[in-house]
Amino acid sequence: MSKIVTPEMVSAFVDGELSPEDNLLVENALLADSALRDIAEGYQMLRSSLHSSSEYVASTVQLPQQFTSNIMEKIQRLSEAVGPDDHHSKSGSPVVDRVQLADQASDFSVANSKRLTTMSSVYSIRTLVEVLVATVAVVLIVLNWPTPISESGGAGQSVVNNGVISNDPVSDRKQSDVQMLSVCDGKTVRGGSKNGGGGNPISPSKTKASKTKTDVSDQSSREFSIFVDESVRPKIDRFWIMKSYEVSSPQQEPDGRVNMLLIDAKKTDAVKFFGDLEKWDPDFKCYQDSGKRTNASWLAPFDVSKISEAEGDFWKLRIVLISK
Amino acid sequence: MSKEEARIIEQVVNGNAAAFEALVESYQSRLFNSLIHSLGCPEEAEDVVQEAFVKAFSKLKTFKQNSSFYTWLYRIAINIAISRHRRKKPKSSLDEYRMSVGHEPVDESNHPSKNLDLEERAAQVQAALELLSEQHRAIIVLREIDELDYEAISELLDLPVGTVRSRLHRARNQLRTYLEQVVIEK
Repeated sequence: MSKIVTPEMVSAFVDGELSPEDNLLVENALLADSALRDIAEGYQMLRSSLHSSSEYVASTVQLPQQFTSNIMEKIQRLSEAVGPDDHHSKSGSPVVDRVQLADQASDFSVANSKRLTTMSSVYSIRTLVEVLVATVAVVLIVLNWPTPISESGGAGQSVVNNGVISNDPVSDRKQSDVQMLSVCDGKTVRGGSKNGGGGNPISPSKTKASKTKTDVSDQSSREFSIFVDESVRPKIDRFWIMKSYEVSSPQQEPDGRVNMLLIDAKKTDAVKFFGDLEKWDPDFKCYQDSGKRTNASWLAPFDVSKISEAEGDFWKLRIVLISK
Repeated sequence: MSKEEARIIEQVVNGNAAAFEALVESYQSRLFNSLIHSLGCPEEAEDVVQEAFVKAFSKLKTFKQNSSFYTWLYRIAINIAISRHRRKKPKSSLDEYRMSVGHEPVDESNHPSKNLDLEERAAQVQAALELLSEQHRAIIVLREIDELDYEAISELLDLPVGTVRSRLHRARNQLRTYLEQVVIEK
């Protein structure tokens, strides 16, 4: 039975990555099939565009003249302080420098899903302000919140664990998640599944600090609270970093693990993020601010399948990392 | 890996830090050019290149030499790019970057239309690349900009060669679509 030549094989042929037998097969197929020839030509034109772009950039954008000497200066300082094969100074005590911090903080491979630690994070002034605002918000919300989190759920009340309504007593594991939710944003999540079915919306928070940066009456922005498995943190980081966003981490566990991430994202990027998130953690839960004209925002379960219809050009994403 | 490279690495590991300069000079431009296309920002690419070389120096003893030095360096650079927390600020344009490092903007007086075409084309390509997913962009850049073969790409991205082949095929189709869209929009 003869092998069928596919466009993928043509792609590999253009790269010279086929076995001799497959190479001959594709060559013969290209002679006989004009559609395959068009495909091959298309790949070669694409390559030509990329090469000319690369050559243009390489010829017009260069590193600063002192780039090499800057690197060598740093390396010289490093080798004097640390030595190439010893992470201790000559006196025997550990030398903590930026490279070591980078080593410890970013021992992360493309295929490795280890979480980043916060040791190498450098907090900007903006991040510090966000931490302060978040802390004030939590304090005010906790002080003003009328109904404490009910472990067993009172009459007519539902307790939500990760967005799923349950009238059962909260288990130890779920309790820690609920506590984490209250620590993270001071709001009790009471609502349905991520498909938005059933449940009551979150009671309005009565604090000014929980107000979004843009007034809730201003429909140019949206806030979403997203609860995901903490194991997908590396993928989340990678997604936003590759899009040049700053991810701030205002909340931290006592052992240094980060449990919340804040991102101000363009709608298009956020929609893409939700699409990827569904693959990484199909059980993630999403809640949005009501957008109602009140003095405070409150959370309601959000149907992620309708994410692209949500209003606003810029969305604030509050990603809460939960250990499941 | 070439014998010359192996010799330089041995010298550095044995304490001659200055020998590392040869590796920096050999690969800085190539890595920089590749990262500009991956990251879309020359400023960011410069930072990552610098940090990658410093980190490569500090970890040189762990380099097992079962791949080329450049492949290993590139992997370090990608990891740094992923683990950095970048400010969400507008990316610098190529001209802004040129000015910031003391190079003049591209002189279009001699061949204005040709340079404009090239620059416009490069901008279109970059815009289309940025529309790709991270996975697709990475593999396209590694194959078409860095000209790594499937084996090197599979090692760098820790993927089977078959996956590299199929992903590259899909990435090409996607890029072609985006490039057409970008050209139409322009």
